[in-house]
Amino acid sequence: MSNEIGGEMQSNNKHITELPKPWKDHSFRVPEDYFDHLPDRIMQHITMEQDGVKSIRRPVIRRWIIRVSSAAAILLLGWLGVRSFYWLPHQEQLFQQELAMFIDASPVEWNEASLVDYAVEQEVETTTLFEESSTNLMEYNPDWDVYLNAESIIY
Amino acid sequence: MIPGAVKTDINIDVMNPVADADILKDFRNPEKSQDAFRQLVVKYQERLYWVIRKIVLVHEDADDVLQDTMIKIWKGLTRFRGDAELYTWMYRIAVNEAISFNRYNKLRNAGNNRDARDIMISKLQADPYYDGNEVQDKLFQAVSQLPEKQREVFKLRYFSGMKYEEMSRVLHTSEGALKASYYHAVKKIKAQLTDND
Repeated sequence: MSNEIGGEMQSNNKHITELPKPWKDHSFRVPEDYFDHLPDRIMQHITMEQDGVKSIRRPVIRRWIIRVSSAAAILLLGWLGVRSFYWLPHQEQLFQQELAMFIDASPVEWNEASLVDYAVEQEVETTTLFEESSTNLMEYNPDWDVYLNAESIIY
Repeated sequence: MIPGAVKTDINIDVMNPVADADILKDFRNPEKSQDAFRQLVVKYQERLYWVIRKIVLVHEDADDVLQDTMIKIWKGLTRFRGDAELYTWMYRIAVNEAISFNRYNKLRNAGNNRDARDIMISKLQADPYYDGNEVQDKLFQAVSQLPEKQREVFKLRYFSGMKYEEMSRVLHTSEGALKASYYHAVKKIKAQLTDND
């Protein structure tokens, strides 16, 4: 099989001579005096490279870099926007549901007394706890059993 | 003299070019490096240009790629240790640059509605430095229809006459795979030329 392919390939190499060869017909030309000026242009380019001047012959590359960077920045801003207006509240809701499930499943009864016991056990001054946390505690929803208000902590 | 170009007092004799070893020796001398490199450019610019032109086809692109090639040669010449002939080393850089250019162009045109192959043909036909006849136009049309790998192999083998061994080093592909690609490319081109007749 491979010999067959090899034979056919050799045959094709022979037939390839039937195809036209454009370069031998001088179908490709260069501008007049092109090669006379080329060394000057190349040396100019090299001088620019040495001087740290960036190449200006491929603006398309730079244009694409700018486009991609801009698109990335727009996507990032868009994502942050969505996160602020949609994602975060949604996450907060999930957190609250998870917290409620955790408390329901917890063997400890979450009331004022258990919190104070825990604070004493951990050698935390309840007054300190109050001072440091009163602002936060006051913000909790008083309707929820699990959260405490400041008054209940200091008795 | 092009504005900004480096002035030089050296008189380059194109008919009797300086030996590569002398150019390299001068290039390593900071005071002579510019003049030495200019001699190198004058000596090899035409050969390298045609290597590149046969791969990228359009003069304007060949001009761009040749300049990139020369800058790479300039940057790498201090590291050239003479393991290969100087021209062979430069030739490889030129071929790599030309192939990279074609791939870059393909990516650049990927978002266009027009087929990249049509763009290649229309660019070639718009090139004022291409005087192809009808048969040559058909050949390039057929080449443009080939898959990328086969097209590169065909161009390197058929237009540039590159040996499979050399092509294997440049494209990092086995000689067997290259021969198979070339075989399929020729078959498709011949079929397309026959269909068009």
